[in-house]
Amino acid sequence: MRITKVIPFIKRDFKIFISYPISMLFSLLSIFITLFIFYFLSKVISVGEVMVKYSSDYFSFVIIGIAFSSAVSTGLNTIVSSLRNEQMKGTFEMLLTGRLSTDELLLGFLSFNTLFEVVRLILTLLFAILFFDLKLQFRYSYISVIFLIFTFLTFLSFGIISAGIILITKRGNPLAFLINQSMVLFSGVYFPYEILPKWLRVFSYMFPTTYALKGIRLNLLKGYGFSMVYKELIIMIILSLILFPLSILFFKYALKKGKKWGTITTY
Amino acid sequence: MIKIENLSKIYKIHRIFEGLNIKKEKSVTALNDVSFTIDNNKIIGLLGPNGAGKTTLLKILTNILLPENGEIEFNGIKLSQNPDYFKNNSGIVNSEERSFYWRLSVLENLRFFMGIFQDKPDEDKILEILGLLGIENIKNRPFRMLSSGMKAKIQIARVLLKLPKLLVLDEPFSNIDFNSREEIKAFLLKWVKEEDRMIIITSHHWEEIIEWIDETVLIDQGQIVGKQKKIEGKKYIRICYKSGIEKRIPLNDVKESIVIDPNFTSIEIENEMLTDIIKRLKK
Repeated sequence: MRITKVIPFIKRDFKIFISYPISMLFSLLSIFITLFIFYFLSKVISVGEVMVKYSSDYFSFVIIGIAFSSAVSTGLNTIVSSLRNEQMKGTFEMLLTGRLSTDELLLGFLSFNTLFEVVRLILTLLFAILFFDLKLQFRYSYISVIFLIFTFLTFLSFGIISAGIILITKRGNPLAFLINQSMVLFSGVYFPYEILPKWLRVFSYMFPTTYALKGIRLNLLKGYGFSMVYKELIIMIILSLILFPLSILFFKYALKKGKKWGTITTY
Repeated sequence: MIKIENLSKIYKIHRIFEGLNIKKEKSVTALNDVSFTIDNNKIIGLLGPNGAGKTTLLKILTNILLPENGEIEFNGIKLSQNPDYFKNNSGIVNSEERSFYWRLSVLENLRFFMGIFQDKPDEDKILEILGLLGIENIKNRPFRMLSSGMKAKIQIARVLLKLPKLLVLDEPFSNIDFNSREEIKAFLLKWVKEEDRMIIITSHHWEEIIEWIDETVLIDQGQIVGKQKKIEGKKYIRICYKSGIEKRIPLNDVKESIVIDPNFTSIEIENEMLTDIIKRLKK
């Protein structure tokens, strides 16, 4: 893996991004709009018994949920959308003729959007702290960074598998759609998963974001250290360490099969 | 040198369901037992109708697709053993204008492709190649603002950044005017004669390239149906129209009933065997 091969992708995507100044402006504005909406919504939502263990107010709870789930879902969506874009634009074949390894190609697809989402996450938390009185515990905040990295890797794995499926089947992105929607419903992005009926909670336990958001909230909002969230962290690390190499292997297999069956050049 | 031996390519549809037996697979044979050789410093014309298998063959040569059967040797290295060698030493140009980033300028596009084509990108090389093609002045222009001829030249510039040994041209002249076409052909003719370079080109309009190529390979329905080395000397009828358009009709195509546009200014035929045709045309 050569990082020099990824830099041209970052420069390219940045230049394309700034060539749409209005879209860039709206992207920043949307952070404020989200904060405003949930700030005022939190004024009419009372904090129940279940939520108290995470936070003393709904605003803090939901902003952590939205900011972090948005960042990790980049891993799920970016590879697929980049691949489809390149196919539709007609540039994908040219990328295949480049002196790039599969890993470098995937990282190239991913880099700019990931950096952008990290900036977005930081800005969301920063604006929330500065203008909406969000109170975070920074003492052990590195634990949240570790959570973020491994949750991102888990979602990225699903994204890479989804992209591999596209190379073979030429179909859209059903896997990403299913995971995105289920994450919002079952993982506790907008409300604690504990309020779901028992039979629905079974699905919550199947989603990595359930553990990640729980760990991040306890860490950033309650100031819990490693000893209090290690179970959630270990689950995330194990999941990502299993899924990530498997997803890369699957994508390489799909690329080879796509070249063999000819599905790679059609969309 | 490139040796293509017994190359076959079959596109299989619904193969994903093969194991489940949900749908029977359909298959389309794009290439069937194709064999020929490309020598160094030569330009090979791959001619044939739509769906003949030309583009498939070119995509296999550049490692965009993999063959079903057969083997290709590129300077003694086999595709089955080292597909990356093919990817790294070949470059493709097609008539697809979309294969660039239209929001970026010419220079930004070429910088990006140089970055992925070369391990040590050299920005001066981009300017040098643009200069050689006579289009240095458009380097800062957004790609979307270029004419088709300019876009075709940028395609050539991009592929040259890769410094390929094998240059694959898939219908490169389909959208460009006569003058730009002749300029590009002259440039590439000079380029291919240096080092161990090769060009393989496809076209529906073979009168556009017939003079330019060293060998013609005719392909139809995935099979090689004929090969023809270049015959030195004139072997066509050249018709110059008042509009400035020049048309070359190859001798093999000349039939008794040839129809000439009444607006032509001159007809030139040089071959002793053709006295009869000249007489007919004069009538």
